[in-house]
Amino acid sequence: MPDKKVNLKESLGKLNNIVEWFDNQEEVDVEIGLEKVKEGAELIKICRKRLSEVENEFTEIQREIDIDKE
Amino acid sequence: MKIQKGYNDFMDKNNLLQKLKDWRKAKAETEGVPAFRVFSNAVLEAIAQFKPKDKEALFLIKGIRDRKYNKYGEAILALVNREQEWPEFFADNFTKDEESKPFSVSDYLNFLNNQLSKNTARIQGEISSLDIRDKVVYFSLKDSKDESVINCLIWKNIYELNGVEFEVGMEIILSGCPDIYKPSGRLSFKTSSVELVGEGALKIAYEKLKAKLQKEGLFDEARKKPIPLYPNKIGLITSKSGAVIADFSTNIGRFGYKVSLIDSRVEGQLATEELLNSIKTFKNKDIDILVIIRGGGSMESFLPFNNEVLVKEIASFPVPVLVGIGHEKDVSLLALASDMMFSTPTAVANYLNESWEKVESIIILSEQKVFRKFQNTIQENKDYIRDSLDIMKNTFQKIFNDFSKAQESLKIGFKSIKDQMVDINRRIDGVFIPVFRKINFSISSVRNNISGSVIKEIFGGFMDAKNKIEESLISYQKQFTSNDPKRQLKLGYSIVMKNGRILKTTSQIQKGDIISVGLNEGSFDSEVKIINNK
Repeated sequence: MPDKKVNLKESLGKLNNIVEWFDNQEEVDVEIGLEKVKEGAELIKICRKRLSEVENEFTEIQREIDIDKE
Repeated sequence: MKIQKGYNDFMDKNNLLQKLKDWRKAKAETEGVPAFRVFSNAVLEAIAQFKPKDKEALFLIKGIRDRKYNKYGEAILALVNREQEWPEFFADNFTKDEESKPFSVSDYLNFLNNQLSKNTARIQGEISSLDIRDKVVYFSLKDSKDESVINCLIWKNIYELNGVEFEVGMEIILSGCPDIYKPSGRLSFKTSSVELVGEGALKIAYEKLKAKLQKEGLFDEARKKPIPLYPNKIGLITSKSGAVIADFSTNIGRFGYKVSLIDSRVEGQLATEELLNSIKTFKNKDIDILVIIRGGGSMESFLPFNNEVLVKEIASFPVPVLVGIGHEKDVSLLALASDMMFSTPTAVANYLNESWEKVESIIILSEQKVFRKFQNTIQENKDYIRDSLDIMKNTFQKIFNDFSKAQESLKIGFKSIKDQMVDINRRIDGVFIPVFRKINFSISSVRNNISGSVIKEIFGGFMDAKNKIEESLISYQKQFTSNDPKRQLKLGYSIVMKNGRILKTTSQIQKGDIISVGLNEGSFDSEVKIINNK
């Protein structure tokens, strides 16, 4: 499996930080705001993409027996 | 018995595997080491699957190196290669008469054990003797009716795993198969699992263990791990053949889960070891959470889930464990020790979906918040800029207006100055031009006088003028004398005045006015009595 996986939790966390940043800003600095919006848009895109990966993967793995580390 | 049949089928299919296991067990026994020290099950399974015929092929299997090969290589290869020959070998021995080649004792016992291993069974009886050794527990099981006895043994690790403490007189059910111990030729029932008999006994054991684990704090809320949001890599332990796996996989949302499944028995005491190994296997895998599911059942079928070793394994599992196993009265101890328990596999699946299902709305909300806020900001800035522009515009407009006004007033000022200038000019003209003219005139007349005559003439002129003036004076005097009002008064006329003004018409007076009348000599005042107009 190529490690192209999206860490959704991390992305949503970052997104939430941006939302909070906007929430906490009395007056939004346009320059920084624009940066944040850009970042937010990217994160939303990433999250959406992750959500669109709907198919579940089932893999059967073998039980290991008597694998005590001693 | 379904399970029994399935198990037998499995054994048949894995004939070589079973032989390898038997060989391993014997080897471990003679060496006095645990079986896995000889070869792990994974290695044996690989050997059974690939059937390596020579050293080279054998070396392809992970876990076999020089040391292992030197020790066991030949024996393994012999087993694998004989696998192919054995059927004919036995066929030969059975079909031919006395003259046929006899079995060696060892071969015959191997043959018997191979046959016996197919006779797995559950047997119920009472423990009649007990000898607990370092690695093995030897005991005998007595029929409760007719005193029949069978010798039994159970490996110490299996015994401990089962969690049933043997006592003489205790009624138990054993699962396993018969086996002849080659060095002694003694037949024993090789026990793979032990069950307590009857709900009552189970219940007592359950309560006892529950109290113990509770005391150890295994069920404490404080030690439960939080379930991560958006679980992705899921370790799943359940029976592949059960119905619950379908329940689980149909109810788990399509969120791109990576489910690793370990097929394990989940019912009965036989399941304990499989479950334990499955859990241990997952310990080293990269998973977010571990899910253990099975359907409901009797307390008896729940034995593995009330197993102390298993429960402890779950309690110390590195990632959160979700348990979805139905139960009737008593919650299994495994579920109590898990990080979150559910009544059904479907409930587990639904729970796993929860955080995922919220993602979309979180994203939409975040999107709205961020963009709206920023749009507002932009709007505010736009407004600000517009306002600023307006202010600037207004200010400039004001300045321009003021300037225009100033200009206007300057214009007016200039105009009035101009007008004044013109006026002054005019006045200057009005004043000076006649003066100049007069001067001019005087000059020219003087010049004329000078140029036009000699001094004589000037005198002559002067004389003329003197004469003329004298003449004029006389005439003026005459005129003046004839027009002198006093002369008129002398002639009898009088002057009537009111308030010092000469009256000329009756409209100047009113009845009762005092008027003064001037005569040639003296004057008098009189009152107006009657006014006759015309």
